[in-house]
Amino acid sequence: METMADSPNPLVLVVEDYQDAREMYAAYLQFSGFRVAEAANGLEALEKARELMPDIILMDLALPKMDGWEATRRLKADERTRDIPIVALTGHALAGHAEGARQAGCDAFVTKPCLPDVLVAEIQRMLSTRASEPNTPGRAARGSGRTKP
Amino acid sequence: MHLSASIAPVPAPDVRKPPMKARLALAEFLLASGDLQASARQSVDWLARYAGVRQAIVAVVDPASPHFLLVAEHGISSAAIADFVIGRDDTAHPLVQAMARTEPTGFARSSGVPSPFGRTAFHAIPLRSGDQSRAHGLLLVTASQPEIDPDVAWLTRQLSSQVARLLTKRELIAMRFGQERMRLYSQQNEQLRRQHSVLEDQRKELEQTSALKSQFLANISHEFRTPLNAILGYTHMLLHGVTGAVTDAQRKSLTRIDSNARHLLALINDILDITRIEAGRMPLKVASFRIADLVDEVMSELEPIIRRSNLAVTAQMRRTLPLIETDRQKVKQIVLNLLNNALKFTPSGSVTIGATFESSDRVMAIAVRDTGVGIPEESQSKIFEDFRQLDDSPTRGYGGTGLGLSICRRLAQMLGGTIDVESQVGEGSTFTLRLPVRARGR
Repeated sequence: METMADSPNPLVLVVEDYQDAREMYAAYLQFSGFRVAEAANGLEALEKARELMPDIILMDLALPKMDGWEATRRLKADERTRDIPIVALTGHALAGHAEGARQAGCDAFVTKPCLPDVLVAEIQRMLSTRASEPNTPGRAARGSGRTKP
Repeated sequence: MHLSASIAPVPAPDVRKPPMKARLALAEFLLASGDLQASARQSVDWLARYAGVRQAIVAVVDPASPHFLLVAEHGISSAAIADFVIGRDDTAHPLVQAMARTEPTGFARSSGVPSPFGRTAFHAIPLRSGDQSRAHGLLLVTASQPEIDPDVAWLTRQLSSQVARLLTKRELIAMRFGQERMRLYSQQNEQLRRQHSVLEDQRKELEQTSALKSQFLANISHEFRTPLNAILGYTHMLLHGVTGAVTDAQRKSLTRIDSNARHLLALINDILDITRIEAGRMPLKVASFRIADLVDEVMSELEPIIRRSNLAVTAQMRRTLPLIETDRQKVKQIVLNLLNNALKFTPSGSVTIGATFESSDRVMAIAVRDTGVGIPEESQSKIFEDFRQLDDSPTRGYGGTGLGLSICRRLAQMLGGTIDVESQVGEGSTFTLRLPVRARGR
């Protein structure tokens, strides 16, 4: 992808309370060429998202302090962060969870266990979809076209 | 007088005049007897012996029978008796009418009244004891004269009170027995009612337990996924050299960890599936789709396994098949499982997926046919049971959780369909999923 090659590597915010899993995804994402930020709960996710403006957020749904659904709703309600794609990650393979995540505003949904390469593939797919959508120009190029026209 | 008395011929024993002794003996017998039949028999014998009666019958009314009961007879052929049946409530019958009277009724010779005596004249004497309004039966005796012989009359009185006594006693016993039965019956009823409510409580308890169990298993399987996710993830990363190069021996170990972790995951997923189906918490999501598209999708998902198998794997179906309206995800899970099994159990040859529409009952039949190892007849039903595989030994060579087909069958049932197998050892197997074109659900 040309636009990606021209800009710094995309930043992924990994929101996951289980340290082993969080660091695992972070390590593999870095290995796959992404920049990574981490958050361990919903509140931290909101702070980091507003501060760092990541290209994509990987959001575990069952989180302490503020759960992933609520964090997603708030991110999607916020002008500054509403266009950041959110990939929900959960251990519950229940249909209701996927639906709830979609209603909260998640753009994609993956079920744990999710192998790191599958997750990375999903993140790449989301980013390239965004990049090719004409109404969200320059999604892959960081910093531009984030706020709605 | 003296002379005449002395020259008077010694009278022959007069059967018409039974001595006091004979009456006394009978009365004593009756008094001592509690048996209706023995009493009646003794009575007719007495009549024959002392009252010169040629033929006699004692019939009584038994509350348990709709007909008169013949309890004793004298001088009658058994064939004549067999034909002599009178309905107790047959009020038009002359003998039933005779019983309703207080006095004996004489029936002349050839009176036309059906009787076991043929055309012989007879008396029908109701057996009615003095203080009772209803008669308990009839004494029928053939008669040579229109009047009742005094000995017959005497015997009738004796027999009447005897029959009345015994029948009343019997009724009383029956009544008491009935009351006892009623008491027992209501006692048993009460017991049943109590048992029923205990069972009902147990059923509710079981239902709650089952729901709790399902919830527990759902939670457990979620809890299992979190660490398993890390195990699978880190193993994967190690295998992909994320943390540096690995030796062949390390790779071998890591591959073992990986395959065992995957097996554990498959088990957890299968158990969760079964739990959800059993708990009725697997909702149907009905949509219409093309079977051909679904089969394409399944085949492309299994593409790596198909390639490795060196089998000829083909799909054979008309593009003109009607759309099917059912839960796509569940059908996919079934077909995926069936195809996976076929690939696993077929060392060489081919695997074919076919779909046909049976228009008569609007059923879509999806068949997965292989040229694999086959399944012996006696095992063909077992393979659909939980944790059943053909080779149950701990070292079984085919892997899998042993839950796949049991889940498939459950899913098929949810969609109102069936799964069947036809197989011959060494020849191969055909698994056929039949689904209504529109899911009816369970």
